[in-house]
Amino acid sequence: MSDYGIVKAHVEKTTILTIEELQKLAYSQDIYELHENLKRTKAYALSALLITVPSVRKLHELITNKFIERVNKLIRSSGEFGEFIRHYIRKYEIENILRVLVKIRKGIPSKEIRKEIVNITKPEIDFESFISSRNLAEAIEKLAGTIYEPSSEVANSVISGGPVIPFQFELMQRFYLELINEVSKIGGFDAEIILDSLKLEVETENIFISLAPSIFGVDPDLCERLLINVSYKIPIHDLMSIIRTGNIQPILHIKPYGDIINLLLVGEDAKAKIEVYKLEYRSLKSKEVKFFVSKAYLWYILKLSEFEWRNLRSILFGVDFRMDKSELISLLIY
Amino acid sequence: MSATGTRILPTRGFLLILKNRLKIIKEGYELLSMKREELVRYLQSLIKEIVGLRENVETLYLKAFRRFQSLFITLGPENIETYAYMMDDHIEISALTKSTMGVRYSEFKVEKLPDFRNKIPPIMLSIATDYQKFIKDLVKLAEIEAKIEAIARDLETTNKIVNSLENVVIPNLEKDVKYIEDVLEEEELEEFVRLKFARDVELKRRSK
Repeated sequence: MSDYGIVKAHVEKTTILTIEELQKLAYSQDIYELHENLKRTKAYALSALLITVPSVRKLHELITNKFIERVNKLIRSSGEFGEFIRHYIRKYEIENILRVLVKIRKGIPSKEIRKEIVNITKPEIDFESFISSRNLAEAIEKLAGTIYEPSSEVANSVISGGPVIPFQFELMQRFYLELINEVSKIGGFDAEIILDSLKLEVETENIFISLAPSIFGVDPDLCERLLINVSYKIPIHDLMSIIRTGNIQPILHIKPYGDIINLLLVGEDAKAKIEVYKLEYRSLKSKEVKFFVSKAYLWYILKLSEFEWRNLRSILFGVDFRMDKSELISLLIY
Repeated sequence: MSATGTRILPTRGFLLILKNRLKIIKEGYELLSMKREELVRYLQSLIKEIVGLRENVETLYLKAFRRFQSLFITLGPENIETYAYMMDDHIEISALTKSTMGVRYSEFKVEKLPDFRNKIPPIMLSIATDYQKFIKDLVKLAEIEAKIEAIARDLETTNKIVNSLENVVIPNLEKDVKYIEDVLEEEELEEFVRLKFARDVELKRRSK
């Protein structure tokens, strides 16, 4: 089944926008021109034609729907690996859960919340019932017994009005640890490729956390709790030591984090995040030939689809904000 | 009728009243002139302060907005909204009414800034810090702008009063005083002539 998936992934690859096409889209003067330019692309032409009066919302839907369509196509054609993709996509479900929780806490009506929730794959929980929760206690109770059940300490803290961020990181920790565990089961070169990607993602998230006490005065105990117990190039105890001492020298020269840390130190968090995505993209791209006919290629296409979705969103909002084009292009992942 | 429209009695009593009035008005004029000069000086110092502050606020805003745009397009509107909702703190500002040379204005003090440090993801901390600095300076800018407006309005009124005292009220009163003094002098002269004439008549009568 996954051989068929790999062939399908190669077909899908031909529809993914190239950097030249993305740059052309980024140079659109307004969303009308962007809509016209999207009509000229292979992947978006048909759906773009259906939009008669373009708006940011409609174009955002168009881009997101394409991503959803690609992910589901990959899941359907990848056999067992499809389950792994489905697991990876749960990170967006975690985002949705947090979105619902913070909105329930602010007293936003369920009708309003429902409009904002887009599930990429069939969710693990009954979102309809979760969104309809009358208060935080009820919402947290509905998570009991699911893979998103919070620990009793975090649940009590959130219900009593404490910050939601420990819950977010608890879910992210669980998500990455389980995902990495699943990758290990795949084994071989494929697992190596996917682990490289995932561990880079996790470690940079850990770097963001470990710099927070020295730059912004965030509680070191909280940061230690938020760290995801996965290390790639930096041992986790080194990150803990940064949290305690604020001395970043030991990691400043570890490739490829120097640039990312320097961007974080000058407050360019968005650029630092983009730099992480670029690293991930370039790392996969450089090894493309090696996994041309293996399961890792499915992962590669999943990541390419995800980066394209992020790039198109950046272009859409950047064009709508009339952002400086060179600034916008610097925020594209390629 | 006088130049100021009041009925003038060319008497010594009325002259005294007018002279007293003129003295008080001149003193008032001096005081108001001093107030005007002081207000102008204060206004100039505030304008100097606001120019620097405004530049600072604009720079902070542009920097924060540029970074916000980058973060918005990187994380997406849904995540930005979620992180914004994670914040449950707010800014507290107190206002104290003060008065300088009779000009009332409000002074604002940021009593408490929202504490977001342990509430939002690390990626949002930098932008939140930028906006916090911007809001703090914006409050200061608003306070100085309101102060400048109050002082400028008072200065306009003071200026009108000083000018009308200088160009209309005082010259008219001086004219009135001069008129009464002239009339009284004329009357005195007339009286003197009459007395002299009467004395001459009396002397002529006695010499007969």
